[in-house]
Amino acid sequence: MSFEFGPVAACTVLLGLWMTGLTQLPSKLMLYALQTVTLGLLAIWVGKQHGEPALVAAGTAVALLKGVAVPVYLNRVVRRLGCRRDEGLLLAPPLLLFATAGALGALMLLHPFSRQIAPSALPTIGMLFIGMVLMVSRRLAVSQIIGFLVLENGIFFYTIAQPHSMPPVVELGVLMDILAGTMLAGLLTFRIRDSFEHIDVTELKQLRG
Amino acid sequence: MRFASILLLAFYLIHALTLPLLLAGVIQFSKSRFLNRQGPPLLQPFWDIAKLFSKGEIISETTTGVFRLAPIISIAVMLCTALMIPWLGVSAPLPGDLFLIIYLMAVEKFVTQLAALDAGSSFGALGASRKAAVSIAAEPAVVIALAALAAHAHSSSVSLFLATGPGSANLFVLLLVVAALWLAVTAELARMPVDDPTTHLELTMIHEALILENSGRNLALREFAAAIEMTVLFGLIARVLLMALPPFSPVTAYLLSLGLILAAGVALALMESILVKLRWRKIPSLLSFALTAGIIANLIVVLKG
Repeated sequence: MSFEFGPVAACTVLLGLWMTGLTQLPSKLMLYALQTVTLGLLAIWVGKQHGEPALVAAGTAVALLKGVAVPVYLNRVVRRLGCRRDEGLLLAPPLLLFATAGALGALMLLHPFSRQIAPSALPTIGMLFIGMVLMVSRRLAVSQIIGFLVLENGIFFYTIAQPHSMPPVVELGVLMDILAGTMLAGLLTFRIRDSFEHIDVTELKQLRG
Repeated sequence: MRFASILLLAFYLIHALTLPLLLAGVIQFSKSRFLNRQGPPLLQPFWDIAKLFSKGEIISETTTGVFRLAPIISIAVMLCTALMIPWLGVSAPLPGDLFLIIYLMAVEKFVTQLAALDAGSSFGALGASRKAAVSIAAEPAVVIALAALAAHAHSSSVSLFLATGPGSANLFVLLLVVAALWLAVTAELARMPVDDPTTHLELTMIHEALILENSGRNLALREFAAAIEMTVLFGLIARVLLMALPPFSPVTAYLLSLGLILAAGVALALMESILVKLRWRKIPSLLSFALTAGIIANLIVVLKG
């Protein structure tokens, strides 16, 4: 990879890390949009560099659909649900920020998967990890959707960091799945709210008719 | 050579004595302009300080010598650090060390809090405890952010790790350090997201509660020391930003630093006009971003070797 890849990759991972410290859902969505658009542009750039028109097309689709359409949709969901803050579970956001930064540091310094994964792909593993942290550490269903989307960003990031990226059919198929999944999850959030009067997933322990 | 170093010392001293008040004036002026007010003239802080020096003062009966001595120590410490940090774009007249500077600033905070406790009023004690609590979160961020630069230069000497030129750390690290410093420094200076300097509401004030018992000459020295601290720390941020650019001639670097310091003042005024004060409980979470940025900067430096 040439010299621009490293800083841009680090930027996207840092945007993810920033999201772990936030409680406001709209600002989290803004950061997610920024991260996804950056990744899409990075994919377009890598595609141009390596002469792969499929990657350019995938990058454009990701930047437009996942980077613009999905955050706008989720923003509307958040506004209609009327819950803008997610205080978090287990750890308070500042502590979670430190813990995630520490874990990322350990990942980069100790490099535990050195047999399977090239060093250049380590930031992508970091982003996968951040997505998982976002999913397990938050209380509201919408935050978990955001965590899932960041995790998916990590996978997309991994494919563009590899010299032979995934076939475009798979890439676009995954993109469609993500779109449909997000729509469904957004609608489900309303259903959860309607039957439980809140979207706090820690309270979803008993069945209701 | 000896003459040149004396000249440099005089240059730094003159700036340390005039620029802080000008910066305070610029902040006041731009704050009033953002609020669509006429505002005081740019040089108003100079007249304010002069007025305070000529006024009489009222001192609480419970005070001891500490109360009288503390502002003098503050201003001495601030002038010392102003001579050690290359905040004017050219190299500093005195050799300085990262840890020396950090601990000197800690001494200043300590005597300020001691003086606030000495007057025996409850607000002073409240202000002191709040200041200490904010410092616990802000100081590590400053140290760790600067330590990234020191680790890159393999030296804690200020003149080495703040040297501009081809050997300086990469842009990414510098921007992270600037972000961390800006967040931590605005908290240390008790400016807007953390403390509103214009409010005198007892429930929230930090800096004002610390200096509440001071009047006349003591108050002038306090205000002056705070202004010097702000200018030097803004100059430090400007210096780190300048390290990201290709090296300049000393005159250009000096003019750029001056411009950046005043621009930081305007940016602070803008922030104070549009932001609301954070709740007290939220301050650690704001400063955790600064500390994380510093940690990541260190990590990148270590990884790059």
